Amino acid sequence: MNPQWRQAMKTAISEVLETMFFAMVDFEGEGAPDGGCPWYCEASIEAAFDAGKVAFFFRLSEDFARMATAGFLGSREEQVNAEEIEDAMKELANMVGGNFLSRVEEKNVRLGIPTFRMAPAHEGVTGADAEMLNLYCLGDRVGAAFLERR
Amino acid sequence: MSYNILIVDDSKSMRKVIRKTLAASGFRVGECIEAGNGREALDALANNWIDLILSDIHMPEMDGMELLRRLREDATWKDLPVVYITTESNEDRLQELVRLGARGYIRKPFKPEEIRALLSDVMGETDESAMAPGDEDGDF
Amino acid sequence: MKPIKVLIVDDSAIVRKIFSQELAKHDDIEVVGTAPDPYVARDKVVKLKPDVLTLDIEMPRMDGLTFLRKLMKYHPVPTIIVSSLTPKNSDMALEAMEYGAVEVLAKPGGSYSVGDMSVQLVEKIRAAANARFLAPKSGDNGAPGASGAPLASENISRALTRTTHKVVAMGASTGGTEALKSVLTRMPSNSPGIVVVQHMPPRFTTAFANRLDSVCQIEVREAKDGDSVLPGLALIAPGNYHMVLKRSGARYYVEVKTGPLICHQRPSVDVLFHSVARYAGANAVGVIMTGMGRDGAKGMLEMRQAGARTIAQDESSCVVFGMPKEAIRQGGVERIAHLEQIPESVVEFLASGE
Repeated sequence: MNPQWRQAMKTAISEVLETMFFAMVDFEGEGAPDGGCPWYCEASIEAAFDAGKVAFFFRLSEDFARMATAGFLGSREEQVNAEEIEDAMKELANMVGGNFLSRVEEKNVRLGIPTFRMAPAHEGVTGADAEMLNLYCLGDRVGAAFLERR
Repeated sequence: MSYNILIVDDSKSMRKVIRKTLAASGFRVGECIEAGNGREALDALANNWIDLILSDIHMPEMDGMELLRRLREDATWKDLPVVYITTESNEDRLQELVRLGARGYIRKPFKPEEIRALLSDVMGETDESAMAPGDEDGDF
Repeated sequence: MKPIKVLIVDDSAIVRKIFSQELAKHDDIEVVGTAPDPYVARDKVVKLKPDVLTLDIEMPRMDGLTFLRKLMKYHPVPTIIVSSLTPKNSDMALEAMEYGAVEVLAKPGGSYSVGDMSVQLVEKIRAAANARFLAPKSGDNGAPGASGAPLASENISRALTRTTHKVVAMGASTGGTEALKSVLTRMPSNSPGIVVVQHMPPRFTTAFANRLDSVCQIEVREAKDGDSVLPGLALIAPGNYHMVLKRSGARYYVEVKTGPLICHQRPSVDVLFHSVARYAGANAVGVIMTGMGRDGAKGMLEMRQAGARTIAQDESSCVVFGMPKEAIRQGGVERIAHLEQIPESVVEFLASGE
């Protein structure tokens, strides 16, 4: 990923999570990639501009997704249901995508409609040229964001 | 006094978040009505006295731009302030909404202070004291 | 009797104060609140449920007309428009009547004192409290408009032959601007001369006449002293002056003059009708329409006794069934007609007796 995009991605993720989800993430950490998590909450969205097309994927552990959703809705974690997690994850994808596009110098940007699924951990996200940003919360890996050129 | 606000967004969670953010912002909110798209917004307007609309842009059935066009054609609603809360990053589209009569927009993610500042401005509130109706002064 | 609950909506603190003070002198009126702008007003309408609103037409943040439209849509309350005497505001006030306001009151200023205004205000509040909201015309969607097509002048031209010696006199008050518009827009261009008293402040009558002129087949203008009463022309008495009919040979003309208030009014319907009875006698048709009070009842009886044909607007189509009711009670009314039947009745009466 070009450095400018990489930075834009990090800034977008931090800003959206902090402002709307009251959650903080780091992009470096010591925690091992989370092997014990069989399923991820995965939200994705496509963005198009004159120079091409990209897709964003957000894969978060269910625990972190639940915590972020509770922060988003102002609810308690144990009250958050699956539908709300899905909704909040889609909004996350939507907002990070929009925020990212406003930071890169591309012409005629258009954002698609976010999708959500529970993704098995063993399933690969993307093609070979996808860039990955690991996400850590208090040192533990809680998921990753991917940017794929299409 | 307070303002009745119509929140238009296809995400129920986002409507809830906007509602909570408004409550936390200190902006004086009266009734808060929700609608899932432009069509539902028009239905809500038929039954509720709304002072201000906060709307998403991209929505199924009737989007935020079409909603604005419809409002501008209606004698009762042509001056109703509409503010967008959106992830739209295409400046041209945002400017087109402003040309159509949108009173402003807030990009998601948003902070309560941003919402309050914009809405106060849109509703013509200069500051707190200006709203307090004095009983002893005033022009004839 | 429960007092009339009034909410005063005005951005001027002094107006709010003066209105409150003046109205406090009357036991049958209670000011339940005041509001400096439309947003506060909306909250107070919902909370205090006033019987009558006084509404400043020019306000900050949301103009009075926009507010009025919303008010009439969601929380209809009989509303008195309070406006300064500028041409722009007169037009706005008239537009407000089309959106459902029932009365218009001029703000004090110049020679027009707070005392004058106070008397008017109280009268208008009592009238507004008696106003009924009439079902909007079908397909009307709240927008102003004429209620029907003009009577075809060909069909009735025979009926109206040799009618230059005829004259039609009309009087109205609360709700009268819309009722008169409904009748006058349907009068054919070969209609005999028409003289009209509508209780309204000065300048508003000018704007009213201009507005009618733009939507009627006949010519409509505010009367000036000495104006001839001619076929195809309606003369509206100017606010703050009485208008009387006179005859010089074969020609009718009007005199516009000052004088005492009659039935609290100037122009007064009684003053006009009295002169019509005297100078036009059996050649006149009189119409008394919606409004509070008893102005016109005595004059209509005089017209009837002089041989004129007379019509009163019926209760169902009146915003306030006061003046027609009193005219009927005093015995001057020959026929009671729904607003929409008035033009036909007038033409029928004009054609009879030829």
